[in-house]
Amino acid sequence: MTFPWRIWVLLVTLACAFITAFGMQTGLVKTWWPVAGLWAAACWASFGLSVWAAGCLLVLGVLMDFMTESPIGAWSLALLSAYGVALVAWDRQPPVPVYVAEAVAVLGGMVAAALALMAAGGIAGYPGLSRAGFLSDFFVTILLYPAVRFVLIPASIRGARR
Amino acid sequence: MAWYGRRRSGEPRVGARAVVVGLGLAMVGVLAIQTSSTVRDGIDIPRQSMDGATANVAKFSSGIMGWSLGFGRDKEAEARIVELEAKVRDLQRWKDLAETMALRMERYEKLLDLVGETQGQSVTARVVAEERGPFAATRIANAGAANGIREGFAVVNENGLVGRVIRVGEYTSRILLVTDFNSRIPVMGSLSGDRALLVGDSVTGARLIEPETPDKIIPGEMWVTSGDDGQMPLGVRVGRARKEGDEWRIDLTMHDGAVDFVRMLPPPDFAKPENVPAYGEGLPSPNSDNSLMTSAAPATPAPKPAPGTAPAASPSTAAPPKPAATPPASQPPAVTPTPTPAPAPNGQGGAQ
Repeated sequence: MTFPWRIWVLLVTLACAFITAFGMQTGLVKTWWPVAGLWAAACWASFGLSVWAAGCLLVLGVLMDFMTESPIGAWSLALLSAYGVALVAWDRQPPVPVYVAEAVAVLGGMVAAALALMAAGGIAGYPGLSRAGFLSDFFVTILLYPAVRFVLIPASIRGARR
Repeated sequence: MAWYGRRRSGEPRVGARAVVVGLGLAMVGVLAIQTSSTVRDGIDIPRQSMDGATANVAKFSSGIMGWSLGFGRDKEAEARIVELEAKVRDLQRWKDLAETMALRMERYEKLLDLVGETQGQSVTARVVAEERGPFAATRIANAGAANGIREGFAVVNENGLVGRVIRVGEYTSRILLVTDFNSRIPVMGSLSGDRALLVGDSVTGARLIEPETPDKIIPGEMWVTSGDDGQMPLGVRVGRARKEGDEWRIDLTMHDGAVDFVRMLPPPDFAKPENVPAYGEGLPSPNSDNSLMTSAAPATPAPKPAPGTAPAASPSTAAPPKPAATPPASQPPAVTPTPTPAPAPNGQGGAQ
């Protein structure tokens, strides 16, 4: 990944953290709010495997852990799991159409993230997990994905693999 | 496509894969060590400062929203609304207080010797960030240690109990809601008098576990805090009981309105028996074989104390006007009958 793209990924990481914090303002607690990190995990895999992107996802996950009072590492593990699934989808040989890769990356990533969150809660000894909360948030994440993909996935990739 | 740096040569990036997998495994390790309470306590320190940062970002976001939604609103109307809201909050506080006092008075009339509770100064704060993650249901309020808030403070709004303070920063505090999985609050029915533990389920509210006499619970009955844990004040409204299947649930009254302004109440000022009175000069000493024997079992011969040790003075031996002469250290204590002192009114001096 070239230097300008690294800066871009870093900025998107900060934007994702801000979006998470934005959803924490009073009055929005019952609103379904997207998990921005999952967008990033699904889209950044289109660049191919990148340690920089993985590191940014890890940092974003730790910030989300602090914000959402989760065990430290839970959201990092979830985002990295989603990133791993998305990598498999994007790097499939022979290449699949871009919308198939994106669909697998987003849906598979969310399943992986959900499983990782459950596992993280179990490992860290947390007594329970509110599935209703994050499932509704995941649903909104999927709904808004078509709009976000234009910002996060380079046009060359979207065009090249159509 | 080389401009964004993606490799197309086809060789596997073993090193990069190892790093990413390593990061994942490291996170699993980080999660695993958090089962230790020492580690969790250590993490609490950065969490405190992060709470402040989160609150600031959320406040900033609220400011943006408020500016965009409030554009064009009449300033006079705005001020009037704020004034009336403050009045309503104030009146609701008095209503709560009156209900609590009525409950306490009723109890006092039934039990004349009931020890009253002391109420400390409460602090009113505003909730500046709400969080509904998969692991916890918490809020952040804009009052912290600088405002006198400490961990364990009960948090109520105008409708009832909201939760308790679990972490305190300098100017912020994190509130664990009663709906959280980790929340355990002793409660009692206002009509049935039954006692139970209120446990959150992070979905729709809270449920009662281990009620003493579940048959006595009345549907729709108001449940209040019992204060049995010494952390919550007595009589704070929690919600109404509702039967669901085999278990009793509570429809929380805190949901009757917005959880925006909250009042933080200190725990009742009860001293734990194991903490006070402290042993020392002028205060009761722990019982020993000798002190118990001289006051409670005068007729039986006493065992010989260890050489060089003096029998400890106890409040029970000190209270009578003329207790038996304290024997020398090398002799057994006196076996002559001594008048049994009257029990202390506050119950001190007994077995500890």
